[in-house]
Amino acid sequence: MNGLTDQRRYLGTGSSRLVWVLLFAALAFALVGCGSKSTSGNKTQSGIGVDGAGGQKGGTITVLSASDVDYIDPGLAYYQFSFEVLYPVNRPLYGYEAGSNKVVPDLAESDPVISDGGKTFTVKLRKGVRFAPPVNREVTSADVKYAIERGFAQSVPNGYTGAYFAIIQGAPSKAPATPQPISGIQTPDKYTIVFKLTEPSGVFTGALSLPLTAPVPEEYARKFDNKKLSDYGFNQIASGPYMIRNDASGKVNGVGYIPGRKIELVRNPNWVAKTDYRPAYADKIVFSEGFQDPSVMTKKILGNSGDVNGDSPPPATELKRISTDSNLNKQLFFTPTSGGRYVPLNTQKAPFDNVHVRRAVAYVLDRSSMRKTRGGPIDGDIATHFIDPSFTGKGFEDAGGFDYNPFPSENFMGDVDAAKKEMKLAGYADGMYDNNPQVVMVADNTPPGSNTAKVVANSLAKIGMNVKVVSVTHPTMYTVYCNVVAKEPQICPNVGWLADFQEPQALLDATFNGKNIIPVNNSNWPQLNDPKINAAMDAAAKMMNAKDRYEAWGKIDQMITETAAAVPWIWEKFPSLFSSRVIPAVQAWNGGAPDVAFMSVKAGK
Amino acid sequence: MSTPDLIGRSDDLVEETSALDMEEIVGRGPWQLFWVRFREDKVALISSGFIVFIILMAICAPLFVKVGLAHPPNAQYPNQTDVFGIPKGPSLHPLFLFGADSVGEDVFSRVLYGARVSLEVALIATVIAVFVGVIAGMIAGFYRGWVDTLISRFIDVMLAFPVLLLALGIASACSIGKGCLGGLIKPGAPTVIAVIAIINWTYIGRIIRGQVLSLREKEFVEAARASGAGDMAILFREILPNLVAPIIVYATLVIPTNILLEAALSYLGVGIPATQSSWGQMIADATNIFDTAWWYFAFPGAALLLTVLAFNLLGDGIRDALDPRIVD
Repeated sequence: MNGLTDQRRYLGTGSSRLVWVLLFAALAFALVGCGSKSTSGNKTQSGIGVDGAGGQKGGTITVLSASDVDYIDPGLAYYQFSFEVLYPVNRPLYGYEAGSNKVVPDLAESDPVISDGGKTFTVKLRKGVRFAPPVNREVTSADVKYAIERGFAQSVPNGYTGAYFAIIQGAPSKAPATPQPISGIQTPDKYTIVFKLTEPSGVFTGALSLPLTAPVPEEYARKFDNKKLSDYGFNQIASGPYMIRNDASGKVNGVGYIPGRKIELVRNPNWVAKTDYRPAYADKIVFSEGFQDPSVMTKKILGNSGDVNGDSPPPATELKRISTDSNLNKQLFFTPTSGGRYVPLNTQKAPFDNVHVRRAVAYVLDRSSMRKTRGGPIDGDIATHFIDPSFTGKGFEDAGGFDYNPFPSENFMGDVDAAKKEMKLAGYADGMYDNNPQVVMVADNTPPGSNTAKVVANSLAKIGMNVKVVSVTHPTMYTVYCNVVAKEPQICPNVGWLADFQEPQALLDATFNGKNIIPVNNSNWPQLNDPKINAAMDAAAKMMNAKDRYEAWGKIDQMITETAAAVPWIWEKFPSLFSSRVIPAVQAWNGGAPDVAFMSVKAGK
Repeated sequence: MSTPDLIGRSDDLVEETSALDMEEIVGRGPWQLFWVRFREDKVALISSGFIVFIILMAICAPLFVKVGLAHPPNAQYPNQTDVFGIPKGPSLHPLFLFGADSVGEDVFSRVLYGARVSLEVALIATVIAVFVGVIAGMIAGFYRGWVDTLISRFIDVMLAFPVLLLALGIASACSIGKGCLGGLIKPGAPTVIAVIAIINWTYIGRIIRGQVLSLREKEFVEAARASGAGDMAILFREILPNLVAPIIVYATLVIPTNILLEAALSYLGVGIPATQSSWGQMIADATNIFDTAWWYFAFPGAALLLTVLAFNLLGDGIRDALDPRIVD
């Protein structure tokens, strides 16, 4: 099972990408036309997938998924599948067209106006956007202000406010129990919102595309947010073209949302098509959960009793069969994800508190076999550092480019001799870990994750490290073990990260900056807290010039890679299998998840 | 005319009778009787033959690796999976008798080593369960009163738990960190053994209690008591020998249950850790690719089926041979 990658996302950064966008559009057309997928080599064609063009209104789309969302609350959600579900029901300030990385205004009317050297962002909102029943009134700038403020409260423990929104003036350094006003978010009128920052931020526009910026009506939500843990998610009010089916009081839990079973989206009757860039073709969308067996999921889609895989890819056997079948392969699409999978090594626990032991692991891992557990080269390129080739940018190439590979091995199959040398540097006399305290690894209990874990364990055995594998479900792996600092084992072999938007900061800051280590819901899995790296990141974040910023992050990428706090192994492409009754569309910005606001049912199906 | 006949016949009778007497005098112990009956049960004999075979295979697993018939169970051969990561089937060149699994491990070798795990877990768990069950059952049945109430009600409570859910709960709780009970139950095989033993001792405890309740009223117990034997002597010298038959029968029948329980726990991902081979886990992994890699599913499945079947048939055979009521 499990998922796509796992947590967050990215955006395209505007102007200099226009040429690429046109080129990608051509490529995407070619992909749809001949129905086959890209294989490796097309390193530059990231961020582009099928866009759902040519749809018509009506019908029901069924998305099949293995597991549930992490949180149904747009202020809490921080998981690819959750974004897939929540974008069609919410209108953040900025969003994305299907199949594209390019950020477009959503609730905002146009691009933000940046002034004061990158410290003031002014956003104008669209008029005529209305909340779904039972609130029904027009959305105003105060709703966006409240939505962001609630993300700082203990009752809404959001996973990324610290990374992108803490630079707002007056943002609390210690989370208040319930949402409190923040002075740096100002609303001079109903349709204008101004963000005053304490320091320049090159990525703030990208952050405004996160679902935290989707409007929340305070007069309705306050009573939920004032609880110890907000249950606004179970009673949420939509602003997008769809809404989770609710009852007269606004409750969705047990109505359109049955946790772990299904999420049912119906049209938001207050949505006005001309205020939105999304076509919203389908009348109804059902996310049907619990398809733990990806083979069953695949067969249902091929049999048209499900329309697309929502959170987990078809298994390798099916990918092989489908991609080599000239009819079926027209239904299969691979979308490059902006980010990848890596094996974090807990730097706070022995033996990985020693950089040489970590480097030994970086040398010894058989990344080629690891990639095979997910389907081989069709699943993506082998990663040798963190910033993947979808982050095109002159500055990044100046810093060293994408071929940077400090831990090389023949065919990526692991270099045992080099690993043993590192082990000797770490003080293990014969280069073998042997008889030392056992290393614990918490892994998925189903393929492909469980197989990846086996390959990792097998590679580590080559340096005498006999790993104890604890097998749990994919969500349990995150929420009970790897995201909880106190319970984190030494190795979490099944984690992955998608950039929140297409800026290197979105890829590296939450995951490697020491200041972002939090007791629960932690994403800095290696618990890396290197003052030099932290300082370099904080400096790079303030750079308003894109080229300088990319170059700085390129260097940071190399610094992190050299610590071997985490070993990257794949820059993934996500396979989406669509039924033959739908016109496909993917959220290219969201790791290739299906975009139900752009998908449609074909005529007569 | 008739008299000599009569005499003759009665002589014959006398002779026959004494021949019978002679045979009975040669006599057979209960174990000889058992063997006479058991060896006529072809099914049970074949089953025990198979069990000996599988035990030998399990013991000799490292030998197979040494002579080159099998690969080390955890060695991964990237060439045994294609570019999509799909395993290759049984072949002689290279020698993968049962094919490979999805990370390129030798299925034959893993079935052999899986037998070790299965048998080891099942046998140890059975021994522990039987030991605990017999002691508890004897104490409950012999002392009766509040001791019996305490033990019997506890058994009732244990039996009221849904077995698999209880097992899942305990196994999950004990499979992280240092394990349960301050490290007494270590994660991995020891946890599985503990879980199975905790669940299964109750059945035998209850059976033994029933037996002891009736045995303690028998004359030989009274005789022993009259001659001054203490409780311990009566329990272990007089009563225990009479419990050997039900213990053996029950133990043989509980082994296959335990093998299946271990497989089920491993199948569900809370049993044997992924780095050790286990039939249940192999079957679980294989379900995702059974339509393209039948060998990954078929061989551990067959091993599990045959082993469980053999133990069940053997258990039936032993029960038939030990239980005089079934004999004609």
